[in-house]
Amino acid sequence: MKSKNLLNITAYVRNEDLVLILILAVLSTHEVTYYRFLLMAFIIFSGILVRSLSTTKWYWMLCSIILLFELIFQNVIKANHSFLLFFLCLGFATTKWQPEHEQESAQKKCMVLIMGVVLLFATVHKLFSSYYLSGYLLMDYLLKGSSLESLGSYFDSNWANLTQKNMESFHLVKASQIDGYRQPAYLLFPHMEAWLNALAWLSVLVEGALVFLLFRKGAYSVVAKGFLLLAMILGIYVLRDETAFMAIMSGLGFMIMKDESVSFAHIFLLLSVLFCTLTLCDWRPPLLQ
Amino acid sequence: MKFRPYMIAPLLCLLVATSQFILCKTSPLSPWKGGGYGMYTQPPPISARTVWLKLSQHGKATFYRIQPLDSRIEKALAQLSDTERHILEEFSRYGRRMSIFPNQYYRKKLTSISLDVLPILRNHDVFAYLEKPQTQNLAVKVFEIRLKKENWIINEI
Repeated sequence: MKSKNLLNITAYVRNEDLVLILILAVLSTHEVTYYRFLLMAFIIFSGILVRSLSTTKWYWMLCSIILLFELIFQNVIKANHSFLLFFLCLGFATTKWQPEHEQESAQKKCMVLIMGVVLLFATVHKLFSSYYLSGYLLMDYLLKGSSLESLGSYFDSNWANLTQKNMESFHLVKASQIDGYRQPAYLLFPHMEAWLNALAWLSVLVEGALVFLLFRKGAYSVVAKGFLLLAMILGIYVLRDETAFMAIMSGLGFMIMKDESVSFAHIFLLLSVLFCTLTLCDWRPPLLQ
Repeated sequence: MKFRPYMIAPLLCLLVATSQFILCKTSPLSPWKGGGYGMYTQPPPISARTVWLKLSQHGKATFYRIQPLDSRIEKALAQLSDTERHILEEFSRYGRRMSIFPNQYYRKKLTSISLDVLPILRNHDVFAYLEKPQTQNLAVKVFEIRLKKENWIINEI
């Protein structure tokens, strides 16, 4: 039973409000056209201001249709987070067609399944990527930011000389010959290699275990809740500039936990507010160097 | 297990994720896009892939960068008419798509737009020495940087 305590903010924050704020946060950092962004912002603000509007099935169906058009016109090949937003809205729209007393539990089941599928494929992609498991890519992101940026400056400064001959020999260019070249992180921090390799494997194992627990028991066992939190912490550490994704995942965590475990729900709500704010401010992590 | 309406969205999510994974493994689609389930498992296409237009004339080949768009072309955008700018923006848009998912459709599209773009650039003194290009002289190339332990390797894809 929900507590009447004023501090129990989970009783006042509805799933619908959170999804609308998540959509606004993610859209604000995406390459969407001005008109489509205005349309989405109008829908979202009207849903937040007129709260009764966002409880109707037609409202969520409309959001799903707009996001579907957004996906098609933006080109599905280019899209990433917009897909997740579309699935969230469609999930809400379909659960609103269920009888009223079943809606809350249907919403949770839907969110558990969406989260499970996303994490399952994130794990599978990582398992099949030698880049990720070797820790090279993590090292590049964690320690240096993208050292690949210097490739662009190489092309700019050497453009005039880029003929067929040296384009072919470009395959043999040593990274150290590139102007403004920043050494890959794994050469600068060799002592970190084993640690980052272990971190990459750990995050895959935690994600994999979480997927298993989500599909097996929902998110309701204490172990699943713990793993969800651990995956978030690892995610924050490993993928720390992916604030939009973290906002969505913590938002889903909140929805799933809301009536099951108030303390966990608080943590996820705080995380989602934090990441929404960071996403809206277009925050990028400061580099260590 | 009985089918319920709330399963529609997760099933659609599963369908998209499966297709994206298969496409990523069987074609050069970047795991960062098309649903983005494989983000951070490869360098992002925006910094790891470059798209070039190769123009062969008189036994000599010259490369023009489409993605990221050559800085001189970007500067020229301000001087262009609306129609010309629209053509160049379309050129750049397909360049971005090509870097995310290099395929024959985008290759053909970029080649055909290039026939309009190159004369515009010549008329605005960006590439004044260009001769009128023909389809058979044009080719679109995509290069990708791969991280190796000691060095980077650049491959054509």
